[in-house]
Amino acid sequence: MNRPLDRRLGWTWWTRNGSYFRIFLREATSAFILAEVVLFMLLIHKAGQDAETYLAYRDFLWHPLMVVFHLVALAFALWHTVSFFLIAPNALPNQVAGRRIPASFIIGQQFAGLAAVTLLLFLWVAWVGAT
Amino acid sequence: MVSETTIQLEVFRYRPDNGGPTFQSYEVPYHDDWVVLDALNYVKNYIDGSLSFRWSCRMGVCGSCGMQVNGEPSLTCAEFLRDHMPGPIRVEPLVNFPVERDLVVDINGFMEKLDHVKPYLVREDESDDLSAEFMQTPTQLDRYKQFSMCINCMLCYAACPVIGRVDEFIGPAALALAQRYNLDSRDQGKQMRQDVIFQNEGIWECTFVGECSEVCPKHVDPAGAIQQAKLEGAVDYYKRLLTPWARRS
Repeated sequence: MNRPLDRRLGWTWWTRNGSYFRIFLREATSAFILAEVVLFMLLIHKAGQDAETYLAYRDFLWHPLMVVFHLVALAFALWHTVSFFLIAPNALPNQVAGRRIPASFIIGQQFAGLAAVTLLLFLWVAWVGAT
Repeated sequence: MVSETTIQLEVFRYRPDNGGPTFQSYEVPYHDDWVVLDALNYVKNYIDGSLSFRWSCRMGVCGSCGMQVNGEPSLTCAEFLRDHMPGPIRVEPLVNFPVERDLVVDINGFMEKLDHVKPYLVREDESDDLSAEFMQTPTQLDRYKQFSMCINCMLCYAACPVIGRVDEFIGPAALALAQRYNLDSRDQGKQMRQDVIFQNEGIWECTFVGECSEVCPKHVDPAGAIQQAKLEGAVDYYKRLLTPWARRS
């Protein structure tokens, strides 16, 4: 009897090699981003309450374990951002108005945009702090 | 004649009438300029004539000899033994495909998917003289040339984890070919392909793992082609949404 053998990758595909595992981990970074967003929203919520509640929450965020968590989240966020920027040229058409766009230009524009937004945010925070 | 240096091949064996899959070891001569396909042919010719595998051109053009070499989807005609010394080299059939026998997989599902995307130039105007030349500038050629290099070797299907979970997913090579013809200035079949590539099992099933592009021996970048199609689809959707009065071709 002819029985073709089923050899699909299945749900454990991400355990098969390092490359798959890195991709899986990169997608998992979104969980850290989500956690940081929730922490930030809670911070805004606490800021609207009395000073004691706010300061207690602020101290919680500065707990050494939470600082480690923030650093891990930052590292994952940077990793995701950089890897996203690097693959973006593959996801875009190679020409605009008949002219070929170099991948380095697209990558460079994204980093320049990130730097500009980061600088603006720092300036805004510094301005708010000074007034 | 046995050369001084040998290398061990661990070859996947499956004979449907003869129990489950096993690995069988063969000691083959090592030559600096031999590829894995040469070693398999040595096994077939001199050690075990019952071993089954596909091959044809032996020069990376026909796309027939794709197999898993040490777990990676590879063209065995382009995979040198010297890169795997001292061995052993494990050779398996491409994953994500049903195995018919030994290293031979069933490619009917792939061929059907390929057929669905109409991977050929479509001319809607029946009055076209199809023997005429349809001129194209180098710039127009450059838009799709990379995606036209596909040899249908199916390594991308073996590398894609989505193919392994969603049987209906059209898959990297077929979607890249759809994009290749959609970008071709001579083609008029884009609308005919949309139903297939924009369905859930088309481009939207792709999660951009990107391994299809990593293993592609012709650097087609099917993952890139799919993301470009997604971008086009999203832009078209919003154009329709925001300008419902506009006439669409």
